[in-house]
Amino acid sequence: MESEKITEIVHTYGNLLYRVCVVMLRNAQDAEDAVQEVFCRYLEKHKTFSSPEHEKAWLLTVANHICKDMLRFRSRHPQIDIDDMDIGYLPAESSAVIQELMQLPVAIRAVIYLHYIEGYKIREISKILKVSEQAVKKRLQRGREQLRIRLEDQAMS
Amino acid sequence: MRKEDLINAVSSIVMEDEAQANMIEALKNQDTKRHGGMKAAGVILALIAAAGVSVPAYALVTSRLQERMENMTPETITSLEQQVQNADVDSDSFNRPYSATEQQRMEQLYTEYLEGYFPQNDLLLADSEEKASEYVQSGLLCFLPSTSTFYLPLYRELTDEEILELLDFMKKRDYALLAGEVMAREEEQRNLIQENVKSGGITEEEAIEIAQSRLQELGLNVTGFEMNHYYDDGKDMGVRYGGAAYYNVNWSNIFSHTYYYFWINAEDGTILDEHIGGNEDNIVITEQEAIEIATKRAAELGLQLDGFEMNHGFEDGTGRRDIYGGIPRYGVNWANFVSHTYYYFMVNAQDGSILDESYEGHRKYPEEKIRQNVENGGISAEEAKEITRARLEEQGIDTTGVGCDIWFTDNHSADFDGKSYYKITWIHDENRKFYGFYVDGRDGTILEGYGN
Repeated sequence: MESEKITEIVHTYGNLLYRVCVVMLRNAQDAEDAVQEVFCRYLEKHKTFSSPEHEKAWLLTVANHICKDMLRFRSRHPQIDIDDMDIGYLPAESSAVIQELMQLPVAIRAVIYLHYIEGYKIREISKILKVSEQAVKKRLQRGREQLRIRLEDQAMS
Repeated sequence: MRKEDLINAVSSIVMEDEAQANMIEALKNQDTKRHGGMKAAGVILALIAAAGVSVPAYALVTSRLQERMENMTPETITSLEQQVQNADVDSDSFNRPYSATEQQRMEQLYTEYLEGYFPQNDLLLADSEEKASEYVQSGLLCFLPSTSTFYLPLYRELTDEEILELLDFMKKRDYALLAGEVMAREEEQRNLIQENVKSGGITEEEAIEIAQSRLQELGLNVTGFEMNHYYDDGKDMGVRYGGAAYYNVNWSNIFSHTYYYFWINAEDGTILDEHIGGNEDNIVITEQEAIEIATKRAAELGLQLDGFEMNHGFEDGTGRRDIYGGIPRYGVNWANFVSHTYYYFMVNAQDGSILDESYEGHRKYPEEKIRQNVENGGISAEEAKEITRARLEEQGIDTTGVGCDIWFTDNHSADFDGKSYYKITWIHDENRKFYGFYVDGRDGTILEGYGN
């Protein structure tokens, strides 16, 4: 793949993938490793995408798989206490919010992130995470209850 | 929390510029020495992923495979390392894609390879493009290190031996690239284990036996699983189990995403903890909610529950021959022992849907699955029943007036190679015996018998 293309793809999707991996893994170092693995698979697959949205959804799906598998093997490494979580520098006003988010179970964190941060609909999240739409709705409901998110629009389309 | 707070907070998480720049550089150079050596481990996984199988970033190694890797000579390891370093290209290439059949066989053979089914020979290496062409023209499989290209036979499919040679070569190359790091870790582990045994603790082999016994107690089949194990002296930060040293012995199936972990006290061999399953992070329904869902459904069906005793429980779906295909669920049932009336509901723990319900002779799950099976060309329940009746009569067992329970599952577990099957149980009230059969849902072959 051309060198410029690699730079372009990392600049376009690097932070997006990094954020979702941090949210799932709660660790900056692991998130960097996961992001690099996503891009390695991207380069190896030489996949053709029908649109930028298709490309983004594919990358998020791969990131989800990699993070879930890394979490499986987390037992090889010390458990990360929520207070010792290291996700790099954060502005003070963001820390408390992130702390609350990170206390959710990983399956719920992923759905909350994709819906509220990336703006994906239920059906789209269902395809990315490879779970049923009903499961996505339940996790969103759980996440909202636990974060006590006040929404301007409660529609779940 | 306001939605805007959440969005703003998460948006403030960004990768440092230096980390991003390093990542770009590594991707361009296909740097093999990334953090934790994941890239090297990813090479064989890319091969499998190219076959359409989703695999994790960390591939574990069974004891037999581990032994095979550890028995590589230093010269072989050096040679493999140099091949990768000296290649003119960033990644492997192939002279043709795999066929669909080859991909399927590769997935199956990878499982067997992990269990110790190794190739007879090593992959043939070519020393020039001309030589590689000559081999291909002769119908041989070979690899050209200088261009990192695999030359597959053009006019026929790969044999099993050739697929195994490919898998073996990839695994050895991955291992060689990690060898320095792995060997240092192995030596550290050996020293720690030696100290543990000297002070009266158990050996690694004893820990593995303890874990294997536990697997048997739980009725878990690990065919096709990768086994790995390591020792922890309990002194690390974030210590678990009160600082006790332990062995971790684990089995994983990368295709079904099923994992069994055991943590064993290195001093006395007691099991400190175990993790069985692969579904926990998908469970969102509580047991109380499941009871409410089942109660509501019973009301919709007009079932009268006065005088009934209610029970409930959770099943994680990881048991052997799980009849619901591994889905974690809550069972909620009502029983009236006076009228011998029983109702049960299975609530899917992942999404709260009714997975199965049984009342007044109706059983949702098997009826739906049987209907689909017949529509897809499989045998009916009645046909399966008659097959087993004939088997019993061959054995001189009279089935006249004997009750028969029929269950069907389309089965997504490893048992019976994933075939759908009927579970047919003849219950002989008079002699208090039962005779059970698993019958292939597709062609009626009796897969296994059980019971008296």
